[in-house]
Order: sequence, then C-alpha cells, then structure tokens
Amino acid sequence: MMAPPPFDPGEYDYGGATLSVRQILRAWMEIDWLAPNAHDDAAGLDLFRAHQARAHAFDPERFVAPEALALRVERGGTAELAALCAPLRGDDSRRDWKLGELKRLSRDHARARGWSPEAYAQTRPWPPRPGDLCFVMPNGALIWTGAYPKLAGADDATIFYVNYAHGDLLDACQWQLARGDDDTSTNPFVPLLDGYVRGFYPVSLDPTTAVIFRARG
Amino acid sequence: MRISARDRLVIERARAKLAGARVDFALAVRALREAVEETIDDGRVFLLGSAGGEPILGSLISGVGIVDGARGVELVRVAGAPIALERFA
Repeated sequence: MMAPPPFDPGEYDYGGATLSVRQILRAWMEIDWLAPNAHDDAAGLDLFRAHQARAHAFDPERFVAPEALALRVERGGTAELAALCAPLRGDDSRRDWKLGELKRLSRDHARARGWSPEAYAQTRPWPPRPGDLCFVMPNGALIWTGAYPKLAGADDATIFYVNYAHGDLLDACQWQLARGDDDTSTNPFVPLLDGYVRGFYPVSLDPTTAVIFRARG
Repeated sequence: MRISARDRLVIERARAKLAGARVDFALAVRALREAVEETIDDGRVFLLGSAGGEPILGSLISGVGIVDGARGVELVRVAGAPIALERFA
C-alpha cells in the first residue's frame, strides 16, 4: 500500500544534512506498507539489532545491548497486526516504546548536539511548507508537518502503525539535522526505516523483548 | 466517539491551563502544546489538516486535534473528514 509523495524532498535544503535527510524522506515515501516481502527473517532481525546497537551506544542505561534482546518474527494480516498493537493503544498501557524511550533518545541526542526544533524552525521560510517538517506559529508554538502518507482505503491497524512509525521518520531526520552532516552511521532510526522499506514492522513489548511483524505472503 | 486515556489527559491539562475560559485559538494552541510537552517527552503537535479553512492541530497517532470553529475552539477527530467531538475552550 503506497501513497503519493506529499512533497519533493529535492526541493528542500537541510543545511549540512541535506543529502541524508532527502535520502531518508525519499525512502520513507517509497515504502509499500504492509506488503509481503521476499526477504529472509534474518534481515529484519539484523536491522532491529542494528537499531538497538546504535541506541545502546548512545544511551547504554536505557537501551540494553542487542545480544540481550529476545526477538521473534511473527507473520500475519491486519487482524494480527491489530492484536499486536492493541497494548500500545489501550488506556492501561504503562509503557510506550516510541513515545517513551525513542522520543527521549532523539531528544537527548538533539540536546547533546545543542540543536532544537524551535531554533531550526525559525530558520525556515514563511509561510511554512510541508517539507520544512515543522514551523513556529506567531504565538511561539512549534507545530510539526511531517510526511504522513495518505493511504487510501487503509484499515485501522495499518493507519495506526504508519502513524506510529512516522515518529521514527521525524526522529531520523532530527538526528541528522542535529548532527548537521550526512553521516548516518550512528543514527538509530535509520535501521528502523530500512526495516519498513523491506517490510519488517517491529513492536517493542518491553525493553528486552520485541516482535518483528511481517505481512503474510 | 471514544478518546484515549492519553489524549484525555492532554486535553484535561490543556483545559486546566485555560481555567475554563473561552479563549482564542492561539492561546488554546499554546495550552495544548504545553500540555503535550508535560505528558510526553518531546511530544509533538501536528498539523492534521484543515476545516473551514482553519488549521487542525493535534495528535497524528490518534487524529484528535483542535480547530477554530464557529462555536469557538472545538475538539475534532480527523478520519477522512473531521468529526466534531466537543467544545475545547
């Protein structure tokens, strides 16, 4: 399931990170969501371990080493994806991987680099354009635009997961913008995006357990 | 229509900042933004779309946001066409 690109990344300048941010955005826009793929399970497991290794390298207290992870692959359709994601959507969920650990990871890296989205947004032209990723309203509030794909006819589980994964896109871009260069070798969000591109959809159940979901062929 | 516990917490915190007053959209957005930051580390407020030419700002994950409507600032859910939920401020 694909969507028309919401903008052309090639029309935007992201300073010293222009090439890497454009590459990240283009890869995201070419994802065929929830499509079966022919890759071996090992590819999906390796990408998640690469993500974990990079996160662990930056924050070893919050992210265990990849060797300490219990990973498994599950195949299914949208009903199985919905069941897998149900705890993330429930009112009693006490932990949220993306809204918890991953957001803090991205925030802490940006702060360590002395970068802030507010300062970045102030450098963008007015009126805001979608590829700027965020803008500051006249009252000072920071608003994100992102690059959410409008998937016609998508079911509820797919919409939820794509919205959920969209945070990784913004954090991948934010990591590069904070670095100010095109070296993506330490970016923990890039392996997650590579996984989406190849049809692997991880869900972290707890800090040491994750399921890599893939569509049944 | 059901609103998740997380969204409800954000909304209640934002409303508490406004102390129940009817305010303009800019103040409502500021309160929403602050409430999101207090609830979610590095939480983000998104431009979800528009209704009546006015921007809808809120959560990309749930699609719940606020818009400057005819009756004041309204809470809506974006799922295709925006669906009005209740008055926000």
